[in-house]
Amino acid sequence: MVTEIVEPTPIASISYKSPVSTAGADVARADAAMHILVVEDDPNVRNMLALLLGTRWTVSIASGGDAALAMVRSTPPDLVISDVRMPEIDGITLLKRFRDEPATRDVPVILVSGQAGEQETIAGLEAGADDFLVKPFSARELLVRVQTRLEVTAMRRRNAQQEAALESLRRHTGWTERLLDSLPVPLLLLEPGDARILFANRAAVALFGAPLHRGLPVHEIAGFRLPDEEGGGPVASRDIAPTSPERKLQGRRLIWQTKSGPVWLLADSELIPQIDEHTPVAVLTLRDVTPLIEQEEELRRTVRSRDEFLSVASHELRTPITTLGLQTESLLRGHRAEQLDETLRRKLGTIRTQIKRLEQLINALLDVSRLMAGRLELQAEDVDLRAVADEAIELLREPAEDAGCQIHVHGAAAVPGRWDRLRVGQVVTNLLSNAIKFGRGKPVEIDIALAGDRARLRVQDHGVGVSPEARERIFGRFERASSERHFPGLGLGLWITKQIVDACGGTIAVDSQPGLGATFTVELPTVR
Amino acid sequence: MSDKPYILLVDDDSDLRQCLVDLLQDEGYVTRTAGSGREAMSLLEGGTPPRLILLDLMMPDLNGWQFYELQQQNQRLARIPVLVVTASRSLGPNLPGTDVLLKPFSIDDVLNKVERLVQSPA
Repeated sequence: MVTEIVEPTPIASISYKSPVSTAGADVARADAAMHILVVEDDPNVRNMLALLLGTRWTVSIASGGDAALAMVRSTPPDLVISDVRMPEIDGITLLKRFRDEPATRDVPVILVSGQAGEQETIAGLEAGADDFLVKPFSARELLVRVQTRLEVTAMRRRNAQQEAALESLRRHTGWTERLLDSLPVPLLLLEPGDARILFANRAAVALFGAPLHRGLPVHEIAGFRLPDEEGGGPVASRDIAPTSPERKLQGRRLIWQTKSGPVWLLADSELIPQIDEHTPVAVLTLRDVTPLIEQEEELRRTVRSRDEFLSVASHELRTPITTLGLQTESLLRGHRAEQLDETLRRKLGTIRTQIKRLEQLINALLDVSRLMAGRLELQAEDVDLRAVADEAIELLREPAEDAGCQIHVHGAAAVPGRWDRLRVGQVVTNLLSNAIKFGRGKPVEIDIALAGDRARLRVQDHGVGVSPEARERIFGRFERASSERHFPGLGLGLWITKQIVDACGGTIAVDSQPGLGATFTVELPTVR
Repeated sequence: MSDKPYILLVDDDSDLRQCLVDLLQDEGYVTRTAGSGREAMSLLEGGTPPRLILLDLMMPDLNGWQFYELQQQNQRLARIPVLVVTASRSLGPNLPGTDVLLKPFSIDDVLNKVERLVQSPA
């Protein structure tokens, strides 16, 4: 007998597909997707089988064991129907080979044998056949057996897929828990509202130093309260474990009172809403910031002592300055003055000027300490900004003359408002003395106007100007527009000026072209 | 001399005290001085009370606030006007009913204040 080897036929070219189905299009599609390999050396039987099966399923055919092995290895079918008695490789040997190879081990096989084949049947079942068809068989029997086998295969396949999906889910859940558990930030998953623990990671357990059992409300382990400056009240469970996104905590400082003292925590909470079958969950992270808070407190104490020192020092300096000033003044103007020669008078004049400068420096230091401590108190009264400007000009007449600056005032004859007279005077004086300092030998313009409910003061000089990059910086503390050492000063004038303007609810800005001068504009609300 | 108002200067800084004495005497005032609150209290125990007290606050041995409290408790002294000479209003509690001369001050500042206070009804 000559072995006919049929080469593997591409599924698409098989002409045995039935376009019609008795059980609806979906079933037909599912059936057609099932692939059956028929292994039969007898061409008549082979064609008969292919015709019968091809009405419902996709069928490939092989005329012998070698061809069948090659086809199953390359494209495992959903079912193999193989004759037992074949030359070269018989059906049972073929089955054993399938079962020996991992790639083909699970392919379901129905063996077809002759009538007298009880031995074959036993051998086939031992080799792992899924079913037996004994010739002769009816077309109906063939179809029922094949269908049953394919259904079992499909069911097994579904089960295997579900099992794989479950396994993947288990692995994924395990990974997520390990991930959360390893996070270096203490993290709790809580039931929204009553803050019962669903999960607590290692860092959380370490933070609380106690087991965090599932189902336990967080407040039974630790009571949190707000810092004193926020009222010091207890923190509700529904804030710890928010029931709505609006209630979530964002970088909130909480205090946990322990036996060994308060622990400062930085708390963030979030509500994860229901996603598919997962119920809503609140996430709470807590970070122990106690060392930071202690450092902050230490820093605050240091700043406070510095400011207190600055305040006391500038007060202490005022007494000797007062005595020096009074003595110099009395020498210069007292009845003994006519006895002074010109040199002595000039020297006393210098001393008086320097005492004034010392006074201003001390005032600046005191202002800094007051402003830093937030102790700038404004005493509003009815003030005319124009009159304040005139007083400032009078006060600076001498330095302006020394610097060769003529001061021109423009604008409204009166701009009334409610301000702290001394502080607004300081603003005008600071801007004016800056204009004189940086615009030596050139005129200084002052413009005062009322614009709606705001008073506007503009001081313009024609001096060195302010570079664009220095424009924001110059309002900072100890900053100066000019890095050169040509202009003395502590670098506090504009900072103090801005602080006063801010405290009055106003604005200050500078406009300048380097080399052509600077214009400072202050706007103050007339009523506060 | 007795028709001239007498002013009591209480300050622990002897230079400033002397400087104020010179200024006030130049203007024809009669002055007496004390270097502490306690010294001032013992000065005030007998004799005619002053028309005005210039009071420093930060002093050893009975400071300005303590002196003022004792003065207010003493019926004979309570109505003497007090001009507080200080570097700041914010250094301690305000003393009600007193006027303040803030350091540093000019000759005119001190003379104007003193003149106004000694003329006020005692």
